[in-house]
Amino acid sequence: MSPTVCPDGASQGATSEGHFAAEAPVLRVAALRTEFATAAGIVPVVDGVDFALARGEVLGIVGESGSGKSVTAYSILGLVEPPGRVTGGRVLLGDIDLLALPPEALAAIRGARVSMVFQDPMMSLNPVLRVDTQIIEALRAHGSIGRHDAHARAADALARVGIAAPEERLRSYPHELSGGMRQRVCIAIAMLHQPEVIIADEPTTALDVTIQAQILSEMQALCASSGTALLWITHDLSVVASFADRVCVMYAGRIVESGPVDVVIGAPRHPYTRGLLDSVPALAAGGRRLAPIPGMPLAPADLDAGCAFRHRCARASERCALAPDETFPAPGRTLRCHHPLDRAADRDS
Amino acid sequence: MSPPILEAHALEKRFAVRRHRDPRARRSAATSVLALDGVTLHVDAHEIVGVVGESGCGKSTLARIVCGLSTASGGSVRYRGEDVGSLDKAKRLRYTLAVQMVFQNPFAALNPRHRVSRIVGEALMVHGLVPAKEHEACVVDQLARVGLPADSRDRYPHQFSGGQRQRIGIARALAVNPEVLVCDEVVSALDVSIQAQILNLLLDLRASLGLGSMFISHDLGVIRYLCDRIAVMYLGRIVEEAPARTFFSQPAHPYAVALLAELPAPVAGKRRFEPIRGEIPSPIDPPAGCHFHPRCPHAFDRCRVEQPVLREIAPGHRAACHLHDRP
Repeated sequence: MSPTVCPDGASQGATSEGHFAAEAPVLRVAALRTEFATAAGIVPVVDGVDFALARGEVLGIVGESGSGKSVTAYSILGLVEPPGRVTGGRVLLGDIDLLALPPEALAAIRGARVSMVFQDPMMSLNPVLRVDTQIIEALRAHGSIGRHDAHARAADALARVGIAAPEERLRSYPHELSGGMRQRVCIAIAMLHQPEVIIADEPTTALDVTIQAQILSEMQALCASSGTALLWITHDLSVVASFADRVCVMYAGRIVESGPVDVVIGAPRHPYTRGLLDSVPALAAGGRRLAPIPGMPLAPADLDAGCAFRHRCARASERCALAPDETFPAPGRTLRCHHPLDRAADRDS
Repeated sequence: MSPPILEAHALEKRFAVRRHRDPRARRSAATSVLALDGVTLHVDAHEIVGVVGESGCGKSTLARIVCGLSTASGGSVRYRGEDVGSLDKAKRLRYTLAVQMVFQNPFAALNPRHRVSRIVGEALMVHGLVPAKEHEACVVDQLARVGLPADSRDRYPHQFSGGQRQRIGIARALAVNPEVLVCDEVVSALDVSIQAQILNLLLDLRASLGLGSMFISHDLGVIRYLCDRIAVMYLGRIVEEAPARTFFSQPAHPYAVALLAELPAPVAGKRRFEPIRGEIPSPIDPPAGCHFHPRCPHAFDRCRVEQPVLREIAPGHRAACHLHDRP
């Protein structure tokens, strides 16, 4: 169980803020801006993203394809490749600005203090190297360690992520493992150096539901016991609801709403969040028809200065041609909308 | 009672194992995999039957066989009560047109070099279903049915988003006036807001055309929203089949219970996962007895040796589990 669990699930304001208010955040992202050069000109894909991550906290970033959620993650670790470029903002790990670091210094942090788990473990593991080679390589990248010690730590790392018979698995190649097993190996590698932050980019999307549940429960336990903060990027609102402490909802490169997960999901203020929730079939049981968001997101190149969601939004007015500023409707909550939903609006109304 | 439109009867499918290719096979003496093991399921008009299961359970194989894209190794596919293997040419054509498939990946299922008018209209032309001069109008009608503008017909698949491409795939299937749509994971590649649009479209089509559907998905939330009857597959066998209401309120098979328990729901406050242990065993070497017993919290001695048969435990509710075997 994560340290910020609110046992009865009731929405009593900023549940997670209370616990962490005293501590400085481990990771703070401020006004992050990442642009891609395209045939249509320079296109901002991440446009002024701010959030902070406290020790041991699970922060979910939810968005649909093209919302900029993965590019946000890549920007934090300096993994954006041309034609993309991080053009503004700060990423503070403690008091170090990761964006200002030279590549070698960033490489020393990547994998040691901040590590990443990718969506497709078949792509992130090397198919021609055995699992033990890959784990030990990651161990040696951040400090020298003897052969026997390295082997023991590798086996220990696999055991910690719930892999049975770790000694045998160490001698396997990635293709000999199932998808869930491969993702566990990636998580084991990410946890090797007890990082302060793990960034997970849709790590369970490619997995079956029973395996997804296993991985979620193991990640929850691992982060709770080690105090590692987790940035969990996903398109799946239901995973965030049952797993994260706080959630940021992204649309077209901006965070449109954020706050404690119970509050955002229980009483969303942004019409886009509301629309996302109304599109989830699991909530529509009981014969109610889904109320999908009409239309589809604009291509980043077609965005203008106004609210990017206004073309699909039933509440949009002329004011929405000007981008809404970020407001703070409650402690720990942010919102970007000229016409937010009423606080008391019930989901059934 | 008239026979159902489409029925799979005791369907079996065996795939040969290429031993040198598959590392899992090297350790086993098996030379083939039983991807479908006695699957019986039917679809009536106006009915959406959900087939749910994890990767490798045989649900896509089932879809391909009932559509005629693949042949069964045993058992039969029946169209209006007749085995499709013994149909004469005219009836065979009627079956082929009556059962249409919509595919999972809307990027791979449409020929990138063809315009939408050809993708949707090709079957009409080949089978001479409409006179040549009405052809264009018919294509536009199909596009309108799935909510695409008429000018889409002159465009190519790459000019559409994923959700729109899936609509084109549905329009293509509808063009020949089918009686049953077989949908294989048609929404799993789409974003939630687009997914909801397609699900509503499928419900509308049933209401307006009276289509029956076999809807294959790994997503129980989607299945719950759409389906009237649900079959759960595990390693090539149907382990439970029930009307949707019964299934979601009283699942009988431990695997179905586990799947439902793990359905993450966007309900604030649900913070505990109680995953079932282990992974799906390799279908090359399935466990003896009940295939689910190594992961089942209720397994007892009999489960390890005797394969449970699918039997009716309540009207319309079938389950294959020894726990429900009491007389």
